[in-house]
Amino acid sequence: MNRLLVWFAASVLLLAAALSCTEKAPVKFPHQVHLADQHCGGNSGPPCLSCASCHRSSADGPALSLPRMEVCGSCHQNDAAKLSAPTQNRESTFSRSVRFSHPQHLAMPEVRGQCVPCHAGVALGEEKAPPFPPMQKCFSCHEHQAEWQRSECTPCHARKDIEHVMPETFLRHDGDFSRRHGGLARSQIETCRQCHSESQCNDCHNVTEGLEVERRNPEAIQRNFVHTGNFEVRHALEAKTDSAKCLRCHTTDSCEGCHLERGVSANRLDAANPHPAAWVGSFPGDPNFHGRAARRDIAACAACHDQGPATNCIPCHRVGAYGGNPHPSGWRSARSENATMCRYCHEGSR
Amino acid sequence: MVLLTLTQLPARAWAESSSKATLPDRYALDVRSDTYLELYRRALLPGPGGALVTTETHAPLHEYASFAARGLDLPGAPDSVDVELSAWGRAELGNSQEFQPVDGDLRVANVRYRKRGLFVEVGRQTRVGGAARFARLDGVSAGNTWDNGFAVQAYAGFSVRQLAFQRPGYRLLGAAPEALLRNPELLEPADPKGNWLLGAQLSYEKPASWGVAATVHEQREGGELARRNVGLDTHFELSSKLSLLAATVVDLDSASVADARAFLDYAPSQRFDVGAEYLHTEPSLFLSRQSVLSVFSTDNFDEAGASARYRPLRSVEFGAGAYFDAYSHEDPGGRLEARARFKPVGTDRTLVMLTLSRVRNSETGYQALRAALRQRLLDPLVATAETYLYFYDHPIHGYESSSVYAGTLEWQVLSELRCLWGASVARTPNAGLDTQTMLRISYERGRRSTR
Repeated sequence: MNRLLVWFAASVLLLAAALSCTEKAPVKFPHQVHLADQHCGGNSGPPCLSCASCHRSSADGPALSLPRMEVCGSCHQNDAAKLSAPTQNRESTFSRSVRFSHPQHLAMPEVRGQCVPCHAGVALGEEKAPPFPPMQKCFSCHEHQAEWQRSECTPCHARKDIEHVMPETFLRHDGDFSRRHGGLARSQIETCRQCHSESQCNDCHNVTEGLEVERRNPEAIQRNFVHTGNFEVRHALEAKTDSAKCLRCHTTDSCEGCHLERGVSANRLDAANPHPAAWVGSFPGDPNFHGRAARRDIAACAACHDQGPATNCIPCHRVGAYGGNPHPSGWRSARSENATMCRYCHEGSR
Repeated sequence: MVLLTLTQLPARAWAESSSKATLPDRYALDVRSDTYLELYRRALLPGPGGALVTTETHAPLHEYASFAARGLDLPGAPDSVDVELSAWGRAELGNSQEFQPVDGDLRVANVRYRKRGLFVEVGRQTRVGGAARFARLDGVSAGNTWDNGFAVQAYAGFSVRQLAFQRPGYRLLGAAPEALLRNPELLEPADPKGNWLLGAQLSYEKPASWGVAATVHEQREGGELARRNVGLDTHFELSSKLSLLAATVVDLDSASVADARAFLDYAPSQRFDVGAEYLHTEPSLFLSRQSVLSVFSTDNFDEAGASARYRPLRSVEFGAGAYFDAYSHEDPGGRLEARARFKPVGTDRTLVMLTLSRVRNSETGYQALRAALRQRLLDPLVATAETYLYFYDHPIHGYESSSVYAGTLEWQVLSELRCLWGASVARTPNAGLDTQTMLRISYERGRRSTR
């Protein structure tokens, strides 16, 4: 059966690969050949090109205007029939959304009419530098800190674009961003709000929802959802790898709700006991495994046994009972024994 | 579907009113509605060897609706008010006794006033920040950000408690008497007035360079201490290729580190990036201080690992991750993952993903294989197919493996309207055969203007 499943998965992949081979990516203009690799000048070579040879500065736009076919044809006279009209690179949508004046920047003394300081990647190749300047490049010259501190992106970015386009350079969501986005949001939440609403945070983080986020977005196969596949089966196993992982989002109430319904809660007298023999010893000297397990994975215990004053640990471990002191070595609390929870065990000891 | 129609009306009204304005205004209005109709049968556990016991037919209808308006005007204060409202509701159409016939909740409902760096927000809201983690409250928050990079925020209000799994008679600390609670007389009705929280954050941010935030958060349950934490979060953009992020949360009651983590990311080129991370946590400190179990353990958990991503071609991406887990007084564990992704450049027709993973804790583990495909069949029609296979180190309910097959078909009816049909078939240790199907209707409309 397992072999059959693997073959099925392999078949899906082969089908996918076959389908994807029918795709045709758009031709990318060889900027490097025209600007750097081409032998030019002199009597025999073609004229040397600069950025301005083909591009004209638009009055108040982020991108220089694309050259017309006649500009290409001025050099490519013999193979003009093979050329197609230049089109905008689809992947540069974010760059096009920046409110930016090329004429103003080219006139600045720091720039001195040069394109390369910001667009080195166009001539040198993307391996050596990005074709579009990263946002840090903007901050290196400008005093935009005030807008940044107020989390105002719209002076440079159009809101309608930043809400629907992923950042490509600064604040980019690349790598394992899903794992570290929480840390960034903690100190930059106002910046996050420029693009994301509170509802979007709640989509994933609010565990009081009626429908899990994975079920609401079954088509989002590229997203790293936590509870995919048969998570209901695996959840106990996953929790054992890092029991705090569950508690970062869920309280023990959510464990209890499900466990109670499925009859695996200490709240039900008719529940089946999931623990092995000798889990709790009846007499001194009996095998007794539960204490060590509780030290190791207390969150797993709490998934079924967290009923406040009704918790079944209390009858054995309260002060004066035979279960002994449950506090581990090194445990401490700033609360007094008058605190309500402490009184469950310490009521008669004062 | 009802909300789908209703949500169109205000959008049109606002559009008409905005067109009467003499000067162009800067605002954004968004409405969204998602309607889900599911159908499946569920057999509750446990049974001998995982056998099915009782079978119920579920047909829940879920509705999620949200509305957000940004940049509304007040007299003398243009673009100063944001409003956000989001809610969900559910009606059970099947014969299930598991859920309430009708349920629902407000997710977000707040009004925010802002002027330069100042903001005041009132209503149901979410606060995130080191010590707060992810706190939801019905209350008020306020803050100010100065141009020199310093910012301060504070919040206070009543905790928004979990509603999930609430059933008639079910209460926070356990179940209703009819569920055979052991000691129902010990349970007192929770007083919602005793469930409150407050906190504050002080931060500094230097754009494109570094930032730090210190937070304090206190939460009460029934008037008693549930959490009292301080947090410190910091991040450094060491260069355009190297960044460091570190965060820690300290539980003040026990004077212990509840959670500490650090991430180091290095991206020397667009083709390659690598990240290393370290996590230390004490699980018992994630329990409420009102939990008796929170005083039974001080064991720690540490995890260290690294992940890398490589794109030999712009359409092909390989990734891998390896993490080592160390537990107090237990054998170590770990996680391994390798993945490949193919997405032709410049098109949006195909996405293929393959992931292999291995998880091992101190006692058991599993291996998993996931294959996923997304294919645009026609311009408005997109299909996905997924396969999950799991192979367990030790059999669960006698099963050594489980498998899940899922697929969707989405049709973009209009630019604002999408319909999705999904289905899945699974064989798991909990069910010999699990089949589910779902229909989703999504409506999203936005209107915005920028001056």
